[in-house]
Amino acid sequence: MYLEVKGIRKSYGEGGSYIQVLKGIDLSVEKGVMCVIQGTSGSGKSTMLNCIGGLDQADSGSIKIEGKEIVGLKNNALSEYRRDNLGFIFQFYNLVPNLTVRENIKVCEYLTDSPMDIDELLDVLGLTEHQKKFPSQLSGGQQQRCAIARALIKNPRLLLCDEPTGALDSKTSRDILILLEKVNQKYGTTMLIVTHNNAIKNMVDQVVIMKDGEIRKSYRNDEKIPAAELEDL
Amino acid sequence: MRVLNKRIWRELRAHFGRYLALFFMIVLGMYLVVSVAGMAETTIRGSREYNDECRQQDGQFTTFIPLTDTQLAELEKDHGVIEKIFSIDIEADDTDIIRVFRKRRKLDLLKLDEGREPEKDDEIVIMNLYAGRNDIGVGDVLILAGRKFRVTGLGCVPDYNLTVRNFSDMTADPESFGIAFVSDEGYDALLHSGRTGGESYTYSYRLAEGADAKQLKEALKDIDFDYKASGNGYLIEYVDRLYKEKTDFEEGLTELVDGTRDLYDGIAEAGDGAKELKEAMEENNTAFELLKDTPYEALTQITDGYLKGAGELKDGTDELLKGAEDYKEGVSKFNDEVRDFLDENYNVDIANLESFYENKDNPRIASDAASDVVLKKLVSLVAGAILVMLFAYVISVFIIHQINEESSVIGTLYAMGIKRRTLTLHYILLPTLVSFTAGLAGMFLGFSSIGVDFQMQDSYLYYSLPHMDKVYPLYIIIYCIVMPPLISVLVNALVIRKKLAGTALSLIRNEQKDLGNNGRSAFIADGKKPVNGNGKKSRAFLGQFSKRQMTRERRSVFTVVIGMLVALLIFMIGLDCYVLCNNVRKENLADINYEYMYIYKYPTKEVPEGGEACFVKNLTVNYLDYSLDVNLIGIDKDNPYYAFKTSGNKKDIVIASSTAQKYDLKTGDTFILEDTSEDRKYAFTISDTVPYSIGLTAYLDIDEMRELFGECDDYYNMVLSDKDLGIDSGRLSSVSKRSDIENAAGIFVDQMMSLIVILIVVSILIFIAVMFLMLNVMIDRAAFGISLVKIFGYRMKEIRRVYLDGNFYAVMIAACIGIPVVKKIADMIYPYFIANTAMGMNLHFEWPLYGAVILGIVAVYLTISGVLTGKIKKIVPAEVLKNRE
Repeated sequence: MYLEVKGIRKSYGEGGSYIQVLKGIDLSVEKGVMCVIQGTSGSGKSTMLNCIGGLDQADSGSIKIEGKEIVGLKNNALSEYRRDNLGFIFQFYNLVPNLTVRENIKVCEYLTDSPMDIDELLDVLGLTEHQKKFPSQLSGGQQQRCAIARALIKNPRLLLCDEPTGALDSKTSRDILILLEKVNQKYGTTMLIVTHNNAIKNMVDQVVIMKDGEIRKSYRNDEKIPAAELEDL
Repeated sequence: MRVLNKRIWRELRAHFGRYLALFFMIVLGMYLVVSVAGMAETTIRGSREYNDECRQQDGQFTTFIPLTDTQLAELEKDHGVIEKIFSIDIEADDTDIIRVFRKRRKLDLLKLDEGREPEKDDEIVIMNLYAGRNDIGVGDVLILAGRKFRVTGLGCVPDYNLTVRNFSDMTADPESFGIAFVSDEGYDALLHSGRTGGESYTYSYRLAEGADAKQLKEALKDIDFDYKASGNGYLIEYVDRLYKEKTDFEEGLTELVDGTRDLYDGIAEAGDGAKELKEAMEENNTAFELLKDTPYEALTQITDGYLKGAGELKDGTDELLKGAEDYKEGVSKFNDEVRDFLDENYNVDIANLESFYENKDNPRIASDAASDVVLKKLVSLVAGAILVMLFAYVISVFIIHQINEESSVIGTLYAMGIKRRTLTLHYILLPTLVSFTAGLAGMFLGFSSIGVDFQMQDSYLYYSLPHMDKVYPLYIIIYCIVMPPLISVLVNALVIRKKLAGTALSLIRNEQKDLGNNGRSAFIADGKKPVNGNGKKSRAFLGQFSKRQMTRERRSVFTVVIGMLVALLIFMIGLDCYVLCNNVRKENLADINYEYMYIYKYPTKEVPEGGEACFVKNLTVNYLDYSLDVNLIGIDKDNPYYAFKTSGNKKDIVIASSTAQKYDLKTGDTFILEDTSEDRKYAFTISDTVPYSIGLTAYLDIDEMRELFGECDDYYNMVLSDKDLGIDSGRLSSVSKRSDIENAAGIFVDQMMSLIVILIVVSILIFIAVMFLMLNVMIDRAAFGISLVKIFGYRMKEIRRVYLDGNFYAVMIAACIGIPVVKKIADMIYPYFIANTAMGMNLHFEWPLYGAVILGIVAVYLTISGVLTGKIKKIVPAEVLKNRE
């Protein structure tokens, strides 16, 4: 198993404002699988993604990536873990505003010994002509493609996507999903996609439904539909 | 707008530390301005009142012998008030000298800090400064010249503001020199004790309306002076010696005239004799006429011959007499002309005037506390304005950061119809309030006991002053209340208006401007691909990333650099001060080769055994509105105390390095020295500069100098020695020991140390504050980027490299360029600070000191960087992302 999550709990606040966001999550994802975590707002899906990404510490439980435990790791070790294994795509792109498209991608290219070819990536993502532009000069879709390129440049083993199409229109969303699908197929990248978009579950291998900090349903999707054919995005 | 302004209090709370730091720095700046300028105003106004109240003199003169009452009355009638301020120097505790005066009645009146004036012959008032330094209080008993005196009061007089013992002293030493006042009876008792130095016959004057000091001086010179009536044996002997050659010549002339007269008289008598002889011979001849035609006729012929001879004798004596008369007239004329010649050429100035000083030439008055603080006041006002401008700019950087953060909100407010002016006012309000309250707080602090009163301590410690009531000048109050908010409004309005000039949409989108690369990316400039995370290319990438970050933060980097340069300038002035003091102390000690320096009033004919004769003349140089004495010293070729050679002619002088530094002179320059007593200027060409640091000196060959100043071949008035020569104090004007010069150098250093510490501490505080605030705001602005790269797995050292280390390079480049530039500026400014001090200006730094300054900057940077690294570590990725969303 590539990713194994067992009994993860996470809470915030104290006293009257105490809230338990994750109430003992168990999840397993195999290598090269595209997995969607779906749920309503406040279901805990982003918190779980942050815990897996080492951005947030779980109160208890275990998260193993290729057998290596990350819960309880110190900041520096978590940083090395993210550096070696992860790519991130966020709903609001989170590009560095004063860097151009190419520079934003190079920020992550720097982190690996064997990066992907940046020009090829720009070409694949349709950003070649925008590579010298700053994020504020791009549309939402272009920014998200830039964010994807940035995440992919270091060829991560696990790609964590937090609402990657949440801020996009349906056409652009479809383009992005097609891209993710292509990357998954070409590089065998394991992907965890947090979304509230019901349609996306149809294009992935594994679906996890969360509600109130618990996994309500988890299943393999044996009838995958290519992203290009998704409806109601 | 009112609703909008509710945010101000919240903004203040949110960034309380930042505004507190700014508040503190403005308070510090205003505190410095008020305390220094307030001290200056208090001193200037206080001194003016004190001088008026105590009727400060317009000048003073010293005579060889006291003026008679009639002479004084004549002078007072024509020129104004004149008062005797005779004094005697008395040694106390082996090392100290106390100059004792009678009570003053008309001018330079005593101002008592405590106690009362002396009434009885055993009562004394001591100068407050000397008393303070020597723990002397009212009621204490002092023994002077073997007599006991009870201290009845402590006070000061306006003619001893700077308490230098001699006018040519480099600095005052109030610990070992003081003045005192006793009753007339007490003074007479001391004078006749036989245990004091000679009495100095000094008079102070205050000119009547329309009177002129030069006229008074001429009147003094015109007074008949019978030096022999002075009763001063040294003076009589000295003047007699000066006159000896002339007297010898005159006596010879007199003898010649007398001899000529005797000769003439003798010849006249011989003429009379010849005449009588001729008459007798004529009578005789008449008698012998009877013998004509007798056998005795031959006798007749003989008497005829006698008669003829007598006639010829008479004619001859008549001619001789006429010649003798011509000779007598010639000798008489010779006598007159030689005497005129002697009067003209043996012109020994023995007018009864030893010295004459107007206040501007009297360092005890011209270099007083008030003159010392004028420049300090100006510098503090300018420095305060620069500091406030700097911090106003720092505030504007904060505001811009805030505007960037709130860009979309501002855009939305624009879109809803709120005007730019309203928003500008909104953003300006908080910094203006902070500046205003800080200015107010700084003002109160400055006027408090730790401000003006504290600064006054320096004046009270060095100058003999009465207690002065603190003044509250309106311009300082306005400066503090108006200037900080005004500069804040101007700077912020300028910067914020530009920032708010974007359209609503661009603000909503928070569009980034092209950062000046003309669209060409800093990263892709090389067009090559990084190889791996640890290779050279990767390091280059981080460097480029850092450069881009610096470009983004150029405003903050610029502020850090400017702040550093301002701090460096203040630091460098402090360092100049320290280096100067250090050099003075070190070089003075190295340059004193003698143990004793005797300055004569009445030199003996023979140089005392063991002494080296020199001829010193105090000449004046006007520099930056101050008159300073330069000692022109005539020395022998083999003078063992000066290890250099003079030019050997009258026109070219050798100057000491201290003089060269003070007046920025070099070989070949013309150096004009003025003899104020003679109103004569001398222009010399500098032939060489020699290393010598004590006072301000220049050198000529002693024989050339004697000729130049019309002195005789063996004249001298200064003797150097390596041992005590036991010269009678009555002959001397002053004695300086090696220890006196060592003490003077030490005193100068001690006196400047508080200023050095203040300047260095303030500069470091400014540097730390500006750098910390700016780097802090850079980290705040970069928080999102930092959290992002943390998410990507950047290591701490990589984050530091991108977000902090760029500053290091900027700071180091600015330091390497700025230090020499700032040093040059400080060196240009510094002479104004000590324009009234007769000393050299060796501001030379050794290279290690430059290294130490850079190391200091690195240390401050690393400390702040260390603190901010802690802040970077605290930036939690998830938290920032959450905020962003």
